[in-house]
Amino acid sequence: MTYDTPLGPGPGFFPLWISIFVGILSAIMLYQATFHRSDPMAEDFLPSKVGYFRVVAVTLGMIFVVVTMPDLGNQLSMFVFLLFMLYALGRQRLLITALVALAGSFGAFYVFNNWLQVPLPVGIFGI
Amino acid sequence: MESLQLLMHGFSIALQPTNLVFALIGCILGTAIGVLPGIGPGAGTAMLIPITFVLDPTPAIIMLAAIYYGAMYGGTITSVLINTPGEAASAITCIEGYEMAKRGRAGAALSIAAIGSFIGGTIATMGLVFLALPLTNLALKFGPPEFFALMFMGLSLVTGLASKSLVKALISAGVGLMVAMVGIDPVMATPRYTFGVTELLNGFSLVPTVMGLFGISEIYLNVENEVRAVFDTKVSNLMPTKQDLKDSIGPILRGTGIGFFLGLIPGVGAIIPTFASYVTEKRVSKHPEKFGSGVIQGVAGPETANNAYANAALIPLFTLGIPGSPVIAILMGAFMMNGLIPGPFLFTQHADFAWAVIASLYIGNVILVILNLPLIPLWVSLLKIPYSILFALILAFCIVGAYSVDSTTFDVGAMLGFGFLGYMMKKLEFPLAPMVLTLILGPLMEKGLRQSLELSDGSFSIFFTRPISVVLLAVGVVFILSTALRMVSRVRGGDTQL
Repeated sequence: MTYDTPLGPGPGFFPLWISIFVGILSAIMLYQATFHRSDPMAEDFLPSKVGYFRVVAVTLGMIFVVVTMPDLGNQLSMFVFLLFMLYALGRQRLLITALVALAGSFGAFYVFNNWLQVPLPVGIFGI
Repeated sequence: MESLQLLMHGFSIALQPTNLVFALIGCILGTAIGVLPGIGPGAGTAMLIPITFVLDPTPAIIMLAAIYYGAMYGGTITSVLINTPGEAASAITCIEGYEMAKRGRAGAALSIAAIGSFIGGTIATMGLVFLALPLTNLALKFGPPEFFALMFMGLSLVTGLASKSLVKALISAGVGLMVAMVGIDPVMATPRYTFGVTELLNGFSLVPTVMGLFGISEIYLNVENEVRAVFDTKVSNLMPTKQDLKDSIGPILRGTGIGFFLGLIPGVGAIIPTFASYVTEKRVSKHPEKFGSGVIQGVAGPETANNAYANAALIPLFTLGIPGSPVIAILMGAFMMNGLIPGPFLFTQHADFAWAVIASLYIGNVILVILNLPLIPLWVSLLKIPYSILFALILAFCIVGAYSVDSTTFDVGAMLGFGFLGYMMKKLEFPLAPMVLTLILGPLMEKGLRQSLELSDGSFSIFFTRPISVVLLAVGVVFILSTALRMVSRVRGGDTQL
């Protein structure tokens, strides 16, 4: 990235100055955090064991979708994702879980594909 | 007079059946977002941008604007009924509103909030109508240096007001600028911060980024602490009494003034006007001791200020292209995705669109006041949906929304990444507002800076030889310095953060 061009500042101009700016501010923060008195940690800063589990579950569930959606297709990967989320975030009756997962995957696919004309991926099983 | 004629033309477009339907849908979706604790107006507006992709720009922005101010209305309902603000600006309404609900006066509290919001919103929109042309004419005289200076000033105000720590707010702004620079440089077409990843050549798409920062981060915070809304308040007798109306006139007028003027200042945010209004009402009251026990003035003032602010905050966006808050910045992003740059040229190049959207603000306010009260039972039933189902469906909606922008799962991954970043920032008390604003304004600021320096052959003196630019830069610098000095004195006084 050049800093300067005959016409004026180049593509590297802004990134360099922003990096210097953020670097200085980070150093100030590091100094404060190391040498100054700190606020006590908020009581709810660390989540409970169940809270941790849910945060991890949301992250893993979304990673699953990112990885599987191109091959499994939107409907199938979202169906599995929703079943997992409904199980991880608080169990409901089986029928309700199945209905919500179906509506959020196959139903949403229908609405986006047919009504909103937003094409969603179809996987190796043709769905 | 010219403004009124243009507004009438705007009405003729906004009243077309398609636009009316989308204003109605926007109001309903916005109110639902406001009602549901855990999804604020920012997350809600960002999440719903993808469903407007299929629309023309005018109905798309009419709908998104309706979602924005609808959410401001909706937040009140949960504040009054379950003592949980649906969005942060309604937090102060919990104090008096919930007390009124406990005494069986939930209906009066909700109806006065709706009436106050209508009056505040309508008067603030009138301000937009009358200030639009003069401000636009002024801004048309701006060149690249003035625009850069204006954006610098706006960002200084937002950064200074955003957080209790100036250092954290400035870091947040810097990170936003860095994220905005990812992709091909607009002038020389050089890749920046792409690290050889092809998907990054176009930069991070705005929708997945803000959906992550606002929506996913909020879901992380919510699932971390299991929140269960308990609803057992009965809503009856929606009509306020004559005495209620008499007691509310003053607070509504004062709330309108407070919300309107604070809405003009970038960075104030929606919370300050409501608190300012509450404090004002308590001060002017003959019985301040009664505050806290369910007085209607404590609902009427802040709720009016809230909506007057929401509508007035659109003035700097429409006329100068400066978003004063994250939600407005997201709305600005939606404008840009539809090929429209908010600012003075909006009124010269897309006058029909601009005036139709302004007219739709009036229509939206009428829809909300008619719609809100009879539909309260529906909003209440939303609160009975178990949180696990709600959050699972919101996540699913976010995933489909992020994917639909460019039809790539890379965007879903980016949304997750920004969601986790937003979650960490919220936990560590880094404000998100400066980051979102620089994310959206960053490319425009860089363009302004580079164009200015090209004009002056690389000399920064161009910013200091033009009067408007000098004044705007000076206001920004003075504000940052005064905030820094205030914080230094606070640290000396025993506070812990600069």
